[in-house]
Amino acid sequence: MRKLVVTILQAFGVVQIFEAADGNRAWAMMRETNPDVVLLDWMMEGMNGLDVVKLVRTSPQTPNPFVPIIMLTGYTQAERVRQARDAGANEFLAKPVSVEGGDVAAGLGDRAPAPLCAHQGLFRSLPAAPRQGRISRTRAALDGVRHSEHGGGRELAAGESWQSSFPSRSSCRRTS
Amino acid sequence: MAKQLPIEIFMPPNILKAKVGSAIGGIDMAAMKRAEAAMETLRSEFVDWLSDDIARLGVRRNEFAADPAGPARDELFRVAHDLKGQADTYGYPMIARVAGSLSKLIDETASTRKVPLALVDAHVAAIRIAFRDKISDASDAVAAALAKELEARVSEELAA
Repeated sequence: MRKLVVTILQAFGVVQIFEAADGNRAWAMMRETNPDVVLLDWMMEGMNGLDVVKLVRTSPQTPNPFVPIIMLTGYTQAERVRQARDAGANEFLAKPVSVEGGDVAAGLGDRAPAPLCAHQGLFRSLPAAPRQGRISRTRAALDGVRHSEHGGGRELAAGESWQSSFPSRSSCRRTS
Repeated sequence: MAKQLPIEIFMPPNILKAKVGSAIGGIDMAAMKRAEAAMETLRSEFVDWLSDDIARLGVRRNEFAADPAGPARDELFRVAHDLKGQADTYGYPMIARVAGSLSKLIDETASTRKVPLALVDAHVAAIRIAFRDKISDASDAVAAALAKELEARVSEELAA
C-alpha cells in the first residue's frame, strides 16, 4: 500500500519522500528528516498512528509540533475520526485509496487541529475546541524555534497505524 | 513551593493547505491524469499484492487457531483490517467487504470472550474463493448473498 501512495505522491510532483514501515521507525525518521507533510496509517506494528500523532504534537523531541498530518486508514467510525482530530491530525482519509479522492469518507470539519497546552516547556494536546483560540507568545516562540513555513516538498509516508486518554483542560491547570 | 510558569492554551496553525494546496483553487487535472496513469502501471502488481495478503491471512488464521487467546488474535485482526482497506483498491470490493466483517468480528468481540474459529474460517474461505474465482464485481449475486450472511452471523455473535 505504501508503494501505491508513494507512486501517487510522485505523480503529483512530490520530490522527496521518506518511508517508514512502522510507527517507531516513522517517529525516528521524522526527527531526522523534519518532513513538510506526514501521511500516516493508523494500524501499524508497535506504535500505532495515533500514538505517533500525539508524539509529534506533544513530545519535547518533536522537530515540528505543527507539521500537517494526514491519517490514511481503514477505520471509518466517527469515534475514530474524533480521536484522530483530538490527537492533532489535520485530515482523515478513509481507505480505499484512489486518485480521485472520491472515497474520502470523513473529513475533520473545519480542519481545526486540537489545541495545545503549553506548560513549563511541555506540550499536551487538548480535545478540539472552537477555533477562537488565542495565539500566545508561546506560539510565537515556537514559530521562531521549530516551525518552518517554507516547504521543500518533503513528505513522510508511514504505512501499515489505540486508544488513549486525552489530557483534559483540568490536567493543564496550574498546580500552585 | 517554587512559583511555576503560567499555562497557556493556544490554537496551533493549520498549514496543510499551504503545504499541499487546496481544491478551492481548482484541481490540477494534469496531475490527476499523471497519478491515474501511475496507478495503472501498478495495477498488474495488485493481484500479487492481494495474493500475498491472503496468504498472510491464512498464516495468521493458523496461528490464531493454535492459540486463540494469545497475540495471534491481534495479528489476525491486523491482516483482516489491512485487507478491508486495501482489497477495494486492488479491484476486489467483495473481499474488502468480507474482510471488513471479519475485522469487525475480532475487534468488537470482548477480549474476555473467544472469537469463534468456525466463523473466522467461514470468512477466510469466502475471501479465498472470491480471489480464486476473480470476483471483482461488488454486485455479484452469490458473493453478495454470502457476504450478507456472514455479516448477519457476526451481528448475531456480537449481540449474544
